[in-house]
Amino acid sequence: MSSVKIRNLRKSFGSLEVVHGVSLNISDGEFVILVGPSGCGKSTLLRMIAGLENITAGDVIVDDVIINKLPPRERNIAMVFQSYALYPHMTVRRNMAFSLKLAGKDRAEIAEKVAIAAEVLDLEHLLERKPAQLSGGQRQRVAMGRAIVRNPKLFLFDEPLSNLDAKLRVQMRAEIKEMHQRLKTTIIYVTHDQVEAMTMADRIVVMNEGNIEQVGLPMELYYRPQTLFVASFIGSPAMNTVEGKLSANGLFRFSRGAEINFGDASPRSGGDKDVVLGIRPENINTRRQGIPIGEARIRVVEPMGSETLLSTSVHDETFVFLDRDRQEFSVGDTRVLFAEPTDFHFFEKTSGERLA
Amino acid sequence: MNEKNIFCYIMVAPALIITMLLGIYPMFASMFISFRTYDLLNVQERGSHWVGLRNYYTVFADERFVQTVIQTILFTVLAVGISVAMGLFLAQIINARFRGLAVLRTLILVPWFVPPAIASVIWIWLLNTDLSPINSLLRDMGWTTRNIRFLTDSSTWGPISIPMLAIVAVRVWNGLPFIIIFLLAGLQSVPKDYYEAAEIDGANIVQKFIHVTLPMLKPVLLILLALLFMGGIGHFEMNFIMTGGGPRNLTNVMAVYAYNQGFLFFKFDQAAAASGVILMMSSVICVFYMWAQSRDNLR
Repeated sequence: MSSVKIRNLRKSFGSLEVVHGVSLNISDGEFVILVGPSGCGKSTLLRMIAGLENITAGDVIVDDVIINKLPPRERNIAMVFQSYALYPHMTVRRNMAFSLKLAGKDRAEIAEKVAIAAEVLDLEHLLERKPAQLSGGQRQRVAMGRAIVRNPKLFLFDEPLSNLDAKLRVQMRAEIKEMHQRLKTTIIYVTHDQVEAMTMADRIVVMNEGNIEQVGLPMELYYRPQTLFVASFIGSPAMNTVEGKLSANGLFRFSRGAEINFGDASPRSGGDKDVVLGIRPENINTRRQGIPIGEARIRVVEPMGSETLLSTSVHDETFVFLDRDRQEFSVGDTRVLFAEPTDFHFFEKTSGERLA
Repeated sequence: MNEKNIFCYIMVAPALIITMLLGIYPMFASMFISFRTYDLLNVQERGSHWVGLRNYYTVFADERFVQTVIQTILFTVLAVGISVAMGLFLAQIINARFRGLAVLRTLILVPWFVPPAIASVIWIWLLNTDLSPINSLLRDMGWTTRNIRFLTDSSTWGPISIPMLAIVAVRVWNGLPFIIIFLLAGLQSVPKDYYEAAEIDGANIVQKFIHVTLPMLKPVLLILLALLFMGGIGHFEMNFIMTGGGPRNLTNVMAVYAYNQGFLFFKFDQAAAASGVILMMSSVICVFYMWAQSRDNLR
C-alpha cells in the first residue's frame, strides 16, 4: 500500500509533447481512474508510472521516494494490460507464479500465494490450463491473479475491460471493485469508458489533450463539471449543449433568436457573454417543473424499457431528452421541455470554463 | 472432377513435373542403383545386377566413410549450433532501434549476396597459409608467431581439426544472414506486451530472453533447425571447393564422399549407397520437420 505523487510530469515523443506537466496526488489505498478520449495521454501517464515509458520531465514519487530512474522490475508495481499479456506457453499456475519465481521465492511460498489468489479469483479449476484454453473473462481474472500474488505497492490497470463483451464488463467491474475493497491496495486505472470510471472510482481524473481537466469524486464531476469538456464527457447519454449569448440580467439568447429567462438562476459572473448552455438529458422534464426551455418537436423515439430516449428539435437545436415517466411519444409530436434552474450549466464559450 | 479442380491441377502441373523429373526420379534411380552393381569402368563387360545391401556393407566397411559420416554430423552440429546462437544474438540487436542500425543491418546481410561457391573461392584466398591477411593481422597483433595453416593443418583434437573449424566458420559466415532474417521475422511477431509484462514481473534482460523470447520463437526455431540440419547433412560445395575433403580426409563430408566415389572412381553403386545414407538421415529430420510444422498448425 502506497501513496503516489505525480509532480509536473511531462512526456515528449521527439518534438511532440503528449503530456503537458501533469500533477496529481493519490493517497494510500485510493482507487483512482484516469479517463479521457483516446490520445489524451492517460495511458502514457500510466506507463510512465510503471516505468515502461521514459519520463521527459517531472517526478513520480511513491512513498516519498522518486522512482523516475528505477526500471519497472524495481518498482514493485503490478500491471494488468489491455491484451492481458499472459505468457501463452505457460499454464495459468506458472503465469501467476512467474513474478514470484523471478523474485527467488521458495516453492512452498509460491504455491501458497498462487493458491490464495486462485481462490480469491475463482481460478482453482483452471490452474493447469494454458491461456489459449480460457475465455476472455477467465484470462482477465488470470491477469489480475498475476498482479495480486505479488502483493505489490501499486496496481496499474490499462483499459483491462476493453476486450470483454458488455455483460462480462459489468460483472468484472464489480469484481475489480470488490477486489479493491478486500486488498485495499492503491489502484490507478485507465479507461476511456466514463461508465467504468463513474462506477468504480474513489476519484476520477478527467484528461484531455495531455492535460488534467478536472479531478474529483464521481458525483462531483457529474453535478459540477468544471469545464465544458468534462460536462460533455461524463454522463450517458451526453449532456445537451447550446451556444448562445447570456445577458447580465439572466436572459439566454439562442443563435436563432429564441430566449430563455434564467433570472436569478443565471451565473453571477455572467453578463453579456458568449456562453455554452448545458443541460443533461435526464434533467429535462415535460411535467412543467422549472424553467421552460422551449417547444420540442420529436424526431426519433428510442424506447429502452424503463426509460425512453428522445431526439428532439428545440429552436433548431438538437436536444436529447430522457423520459422516465413512461409516456407515449410519436415522431412529430411536440412537447414543451422544462428543467430545474439548478440543473443548468453555463460555460464560457472561448475557454470552456464553468461560470459560477 | 469439376472445372475448378482441373484448373488447379493444371496450375500445379509444371512445378509437379519439374519436381518429378529433377527431384523424385533421380532420387529413386539413385536408390535403385544403390542395390545393384554399377561400376562405370566395367559395366560394359559385367553388366549391372541386384546385390541387395552389399553396397551399403561396402561403404560402411570403409573407415574413411565412417569417419566422413561422423564429420558430416559434426560439421552440421557445429555450423548450425554456432550460427543459430549467433543468429539469435544478432537478430535481437537488429530488432532494437539505434543510430547506425541501417549500416549494421546491411553489413550483417552482405554475406548472403555471395553464392557459396564464390564464398569458398574468396575464403580460400583469405585462409591461404602464406597469403592470408588474417595470418598477417594475427602476427602483427602478436597473437601468433607462425602462420596458421587454416586449410591444410592435419593435427587433430579428436575428430576436430583446424581445417574443419575453418570451413565451419565460412559456412557460418555465409549462412548467418538467412538465419538472422528468419529469426528476425519470428522476433517481430512477438507482441511487445509480453516483454513489458515480464519487465513488470521483474525479469532482467537474460530472463526476458529465456522466458519470453525463446518460448515465443520455439515454432520458428524448430522449423529453422530442421531446415538447417537437412541442408547441413547434404552440404557439398564449400567442403568440395575449399579442401576437397582433405587433408587426410579430415574435412570430408558424405556428399563429397559420394561425389568422389562416383565421378573420381566411377563406382556409381557405392556413390549411390553413400547418397542413400544421406537420404535416410535427411528423411529422419524431414519427418521431424513435418511433425513440428503440423503441430504448429494445430495450435
